[in-house]
Amino acid sequence: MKSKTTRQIAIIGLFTAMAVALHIAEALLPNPVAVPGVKLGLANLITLIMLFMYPFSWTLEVVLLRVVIGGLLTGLFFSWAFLLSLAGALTALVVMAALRKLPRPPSVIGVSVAGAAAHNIGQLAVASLMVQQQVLLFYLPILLVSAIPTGLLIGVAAKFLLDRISPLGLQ
Amino acid sequence: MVKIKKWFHRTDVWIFAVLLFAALLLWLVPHLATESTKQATAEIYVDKELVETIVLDLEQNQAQQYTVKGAIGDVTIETKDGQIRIKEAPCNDQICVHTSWIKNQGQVIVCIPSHLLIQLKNGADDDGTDTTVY
Repeated sequence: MKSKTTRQIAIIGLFTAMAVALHIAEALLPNPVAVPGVKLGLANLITLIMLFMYPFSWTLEVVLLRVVIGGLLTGLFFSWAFLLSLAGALTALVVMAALRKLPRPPSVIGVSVAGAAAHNIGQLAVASLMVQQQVLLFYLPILLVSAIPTGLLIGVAAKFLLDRISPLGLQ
Repeated sequence: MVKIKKWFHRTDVWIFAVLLFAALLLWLVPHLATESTKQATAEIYVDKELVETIVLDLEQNQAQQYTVKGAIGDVTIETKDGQIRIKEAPCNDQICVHTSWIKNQGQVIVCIPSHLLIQLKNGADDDGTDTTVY
């Protein structure tokens, strides 16, 4: 593995800290909807911003660090909730990165909505494997529709942030 | 330098359309395929093992309770009027309890912390045809 520059270490550290903070904040919030998996996805905001500013490998590193540290801090490390959050975060990351590579890539908001949906699909896939029944797919329509408002919110937030962060020359 | 001028892009429309269409399709298929008039049989699984099968009697006026041992403790299941629900579960989120009563074939209640699943199948007067499509 190539050795990292000080700048890269600093940026990954900074974004990991923010992602962990959002991850914990979200875990502390009570879920307003009595449907599993319907949540805002605050930590995805960091993944989203990083995808637009930094190489994929940096983003992957932050996502993995965030899920592990977040898991340790919420006391859910290697529990079923940890595995679900890992599956969701990675699926979202892969789908969002792939969409960015399209010849006509979607906007930040489009990427965010697709990421939210991918997160839910990934989580449900792992949950189905864990319960060993594909009937969990009954939740999928609710989760897909709920990805639209939550993805929109996070996407708009990311758009505002990117417009303000990019002039700072943090690349 | 990242410069994103537009809020939306044409590709976004496809993302929204695909999501809504997939959701509609996935929602419609089980709903069109289930019948509510027939008596259903509830199958209770823990860790994929079938632990109990309960025939839901539409005329059952008196609530009846069952206790099933889940992965993190006992789960209390209740049946009444051809419906079934999880009355009490030891999990934190109580999602299974909030699912409340189910009665149609194909409906499910899941408690992931307990590794427990209740699935409604065709009733006793099963004609051998699958009416539920996943």
